[in-house]
Order: sequence, then structure tokens, then C-alpha cells
Amino acid sequence: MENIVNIGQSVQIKGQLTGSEDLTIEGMVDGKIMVSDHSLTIGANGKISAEVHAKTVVVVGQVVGNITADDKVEIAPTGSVEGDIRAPRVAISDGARFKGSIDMERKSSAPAAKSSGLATAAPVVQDIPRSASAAER
Amino acid sequence: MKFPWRQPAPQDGLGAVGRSGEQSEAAAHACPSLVRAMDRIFKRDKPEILDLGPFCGDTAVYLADRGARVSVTEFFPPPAAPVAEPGGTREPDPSPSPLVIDQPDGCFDLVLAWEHADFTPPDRLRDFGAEIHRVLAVGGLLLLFALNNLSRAEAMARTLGRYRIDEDDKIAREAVPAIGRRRWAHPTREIERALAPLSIQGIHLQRNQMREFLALKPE
Repeated sequence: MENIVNIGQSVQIKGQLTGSEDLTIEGMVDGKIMVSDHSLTIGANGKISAEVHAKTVVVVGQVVGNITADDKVEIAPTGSVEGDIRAPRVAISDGARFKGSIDMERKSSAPAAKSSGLATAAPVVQDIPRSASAAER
Repeated sequence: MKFPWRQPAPQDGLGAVGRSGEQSEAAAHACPSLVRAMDRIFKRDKPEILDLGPFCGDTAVYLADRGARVSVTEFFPPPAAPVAEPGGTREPDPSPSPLVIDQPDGCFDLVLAWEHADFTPPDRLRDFGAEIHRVLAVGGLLLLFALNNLSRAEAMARTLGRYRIDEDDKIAREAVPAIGRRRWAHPTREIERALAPLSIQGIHLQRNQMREFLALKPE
């Protein structure tokens, strides 16, 4: 079973945060977060003012700072990102707030279909007909 | 022969299939100017695109996945400058609110300004054009939409368009309420004058009375 570390709502960290486990942050972090081979979730109460590097980053709360992911960045409808995103795959939900730039690796495949209201550009996502996708919404 | 009492739903971008109460989604329609812009900029290795919003995640991800670096900033045109009342004591504001696009000079190959010109007061339209000119790279393109006639597209006049790019030649307009924001239907010649340093490459009038302007920053 894989460990998930949870940084609670009352915790405030200033400085560099590194780890080799999946991490969920509900508190405040100011500095730098490095969990290179693992996933990082910024919870609904999480407020991050930091450079972020992880394998997968899911933003449900607020991030101010640049995000680099080796696999995917996902911003939930309640998520807010102010900074640059660099990742091979990016998914931004309707309602999410974003100010910055998005840089994805160039792929030869066509953009993937959307699913569940998320804008995804993952080459592995199954191709859902647009009519079906619209109906889901 | 019987005719249906109700008119069929419009297919010109005004159809309102609600995703939620505050948003409506229109059918995707062709956008010839976008096709021209995409053809041109994606000949470059890693084009820089600026989306002035309202932010649509699908659009940003689509363009980034095509190989562009996409910057997103929410642009809010300034309100009209207050006019001095005839015979009144109130003077016009000597320092109107600045019209600024929060981006560096000359670095974008394509600026997607969508419908922002319509919400820019006539007296600030040139400032808007100058600011677009500032952020565009040499050889960069501007894509701008402007309603041709407010009365004939009344539903659109009350809302601000959020554009979802489905394919290079297909976009869909989603209406977001433009609360407290006045819309103008600027004459074509006024828009051309405002964009004056830019070279207009084409103006296309859509069936829904929306004009598409494609402009180039010449060397």
C-alpha cells in the first residue's frame, strides 16, 4: 500500500518541502515543493505560494507559483493557479481560475477529446464522441 | 402544408442550450479567420499565443497541445471616461483609468482578443489598439470579434462571449453575463483606425452579425 502524507489545514510551512511519497496539502506552504516521482494534491483549503515540481499535480485549492509536472497537471473547478504550467498533459475544469501560461510537450497526435467537463490533452484518453461528451454536461 | 408555430432554434451562434443557469452554449460554427491565423502561426516552431479571456480551459489546452505556449490573462476594458456636464461644475477626469494588458512587449505571435473591443468605450479604442500592437511580435496576428449590429443580435449584446476552440475551423461561443458592462457596436472604419499600426488582413461577417477581424503587425 502506498503512503499518502497529509499536511493539515492548521500547518504552515516556509521553506523547501521534498518527499518521496504522495502528498496532500490542506495547509499553507511558502517556498518550494519537490515530490518528483509522486503526486501532489493541493486540497480545497490549501494555499501554496511556491514553485512546485511533482509527477502529477492536482489543484483543488490555490497556487501562486510555477508548476512543473512530469506527467499531468489538473485544475479542479474550485482550483486557482497564478503562474506558469509546464507538463505533458494538462486538464483544466470549467470554473477553474488561471492566470499564466501553459507549455505542453509537442505531440504528433491530435488533441484528445474532452471528458466529464475537463479539458484534457492526454494521448491515452479514450476518444469520446463530442455529442456524448456534451450530453454528459 | 402546415408550418411549425415555433421557429427552429437558430444555428448561428445564438442557440442557448444551457449548461447551467448562468451559461449558455451555442453550437460550434466555422471561423475562417481563426483557420487563417492557425495555418500561419503553427508554421513556427513554438508560437506564443495570448488569450485575453474570458478564460476557457479547453481553448488553452487545445492550443497548447497543438504546440503553442499559451498565456492567459483576464483583460477588463476600462469604463468610459466621465463627460463634463453642460453648465455643471464637474470637470472631466484628467487621468482616465489606464488600459493595460499585463504582458511584456512584442512577444506574441497571436493575440485572441475575442469581443473585448465591443466593451471598450469609443474614446479608448485607440488605446486598446495601441496596447495590442505593443504586445504583438513583428509578424504577429490579432483575432478580434465585434458585433456589427446590436439590435439584430440582441441576445449577444447583453453577454460577453467565451470561446471554446473545438478544432482549428470550429469554435463555440458560450455566453457569460456582462454585468455592468456596456457594449458598443463600433463602425468598421473606427476599428480599422484604432488598429491602424496593424495591417488588416481580412474582415469576415458571420451570419450572427459578428465581424471577425484578422490583423497583422507588419515589419
